[in-house]
Amino acid sequence: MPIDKAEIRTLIPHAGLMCLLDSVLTWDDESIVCTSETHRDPANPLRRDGQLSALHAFEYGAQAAAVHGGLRARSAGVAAPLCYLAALRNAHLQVTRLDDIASPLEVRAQRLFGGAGNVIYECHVSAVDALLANGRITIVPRT
Amino acid sequence: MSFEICRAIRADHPSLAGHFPGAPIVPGVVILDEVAAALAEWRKDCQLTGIRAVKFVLPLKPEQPFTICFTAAKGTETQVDFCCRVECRIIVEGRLEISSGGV
Repeated sequence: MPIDKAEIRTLIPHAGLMCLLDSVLTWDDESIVCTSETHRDPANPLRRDGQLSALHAFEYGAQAAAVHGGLRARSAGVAAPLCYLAALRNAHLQVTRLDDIASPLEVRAQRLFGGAGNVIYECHVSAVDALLANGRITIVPRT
Repeated sequence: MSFEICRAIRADHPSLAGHFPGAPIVPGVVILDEVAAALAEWRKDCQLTGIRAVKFVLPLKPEQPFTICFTAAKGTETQVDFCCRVECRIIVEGRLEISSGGV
């Protein structure tokens, strides 16, 4: 059963409209697939001059990784550490903006390396199987 | 060839209320959006196509002035190095990929 937004809010510290993902479709220990329609919301807090730059795909990816960390911690019976986005590498943009994408976004994050400390995820943001942006993010616990 | 511009993210930026409640920190993507806008001021014809690498070294607080500095990467027309500094401390640095046409 998909995990809805109310439950996502219990897994990550992002609040209000900054909680960008709508639901988790599936996840296991290595990966997570989420979906969102907030890219078309005129009130999306990352819009600049009314447009949502494709760069923000990496915030969607980072939040998917954060939700994944929260789900893994919850199944291990431990508290998820507060984390931040420390690095982004090999990031490619296939489009310039997201707000004009009519379909829901699919946000995939695959854990490549790491466990409790630094974690590296490969993120893919797509719409109806068309890749919009991808890149590798490093998530680090806040000390 | 280089270019510098000073910026700050206002405390009323809509992302800050939820990132995070009671402890506002400017999201990394908001800094990158400022960097992309500054790049467009420097090179009006160029298009950001990717990010080779970016490191978020230190957090940026609301209203904290920061300087974005670009330098052309040596030996390539399609990459630009940048850093963001608060006073003399680097908070973000990286290398962007650009094209002079559309995406």
